[in-house]
Amino acid sequence: MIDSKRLTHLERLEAESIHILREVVAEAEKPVMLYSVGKDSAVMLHLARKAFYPSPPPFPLLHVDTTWKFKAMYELRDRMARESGMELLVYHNPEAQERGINPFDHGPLHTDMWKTEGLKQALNLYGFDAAFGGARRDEEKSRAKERIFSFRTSSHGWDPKNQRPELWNLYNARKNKGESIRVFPISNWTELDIWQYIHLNDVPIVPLYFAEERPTVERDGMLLMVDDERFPLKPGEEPVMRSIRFRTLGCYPLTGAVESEAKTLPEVIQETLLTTTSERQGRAIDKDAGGAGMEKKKQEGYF
Amino acid sequence: MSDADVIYKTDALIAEDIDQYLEVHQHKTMLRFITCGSVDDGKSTLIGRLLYDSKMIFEDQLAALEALHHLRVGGRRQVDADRPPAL
Repeated sequence: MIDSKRLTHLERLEAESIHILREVVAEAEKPVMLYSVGKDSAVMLHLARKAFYPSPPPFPLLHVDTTWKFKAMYELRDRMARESGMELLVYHNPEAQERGINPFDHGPLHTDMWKTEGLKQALNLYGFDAAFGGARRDEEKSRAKERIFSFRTSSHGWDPKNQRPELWNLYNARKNKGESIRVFPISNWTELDIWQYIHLNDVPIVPLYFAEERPTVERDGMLLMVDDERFPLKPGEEPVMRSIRFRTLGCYPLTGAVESEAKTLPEVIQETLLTTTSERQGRAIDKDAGGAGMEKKKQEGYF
Repeated sequence: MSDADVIYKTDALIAEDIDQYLEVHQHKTMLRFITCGSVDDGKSTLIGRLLYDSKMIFEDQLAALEALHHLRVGGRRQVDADRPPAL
């Protein structure tokens, strides 16, 4: 029998996340929310707005941009910043911009410079000492073992073997000068929790999560969407219209689509639950460095 | 394919009536557990085995794990929650 006085597991997760968000605001000097415009960011932003309602959350949104995100992501980003009344900071690594770093010609350097270096530069520039990120444990193995309050050295490095104990809901935010923390308020959520929360709360998400006819090409077994004219087509190559959607969103040349007919949220959830492969399967970043890609990137300061 | 060969298994209701499934799922109760033991007692191995037996490991995760295992020792399959490919 369902006892309505007890919280559902989703309500418990929501309460936990709101507690974390408020705890950081109480403890940190200058917090910021890393906003990447994906579904996890969407839920994290929704929770932040709820945690401080009716005021807007007392920190800005930071988008460490690569200039290679999907157009639809930039649209939703700007709309959400307007609607939430939060300040939106967009950071571009000037060196990456100058050198024209892109995912087609520069491989792993693209992520290193735009994202890892860009994030470090932005945090240093503004002097943020706590940065919320929308990572979840079930996404990737190095994220599974990372604490909710993840301490970074003054050079933003992460040492997986030197993590603080984190008991129950007691979070220790003390740090030395120059050190910072990455905080993951939705660490304990699963992919299904995220979808269900979006469904129950009508959280706005990028339309790319829903199936639609889109121009695609196939590269190395991945279906890539030709989102703008910068996509270098091979001689004789023509984009093919396919009904596709995305399980995760990143830079469009690095994010594989799945063929799908799921046009509504319950249909997307249904398809997600019926797939037998993990959500990050379509992400090129995880496969760098022989499967240890993410842990290495995190040690170097990737969020 | 017999049931024992299925790696990742989903609830039949998901395919039949997703709205109903979501409603039921929303009100499921949660089992919280921990494993206790010394170093190398098999804490993570036990969790890995529970995930494996309850068909909660994705195919690409298991494939990556098998590849890694063959690389290291070869032979018998073992699932360890500390060293999963993408959990």
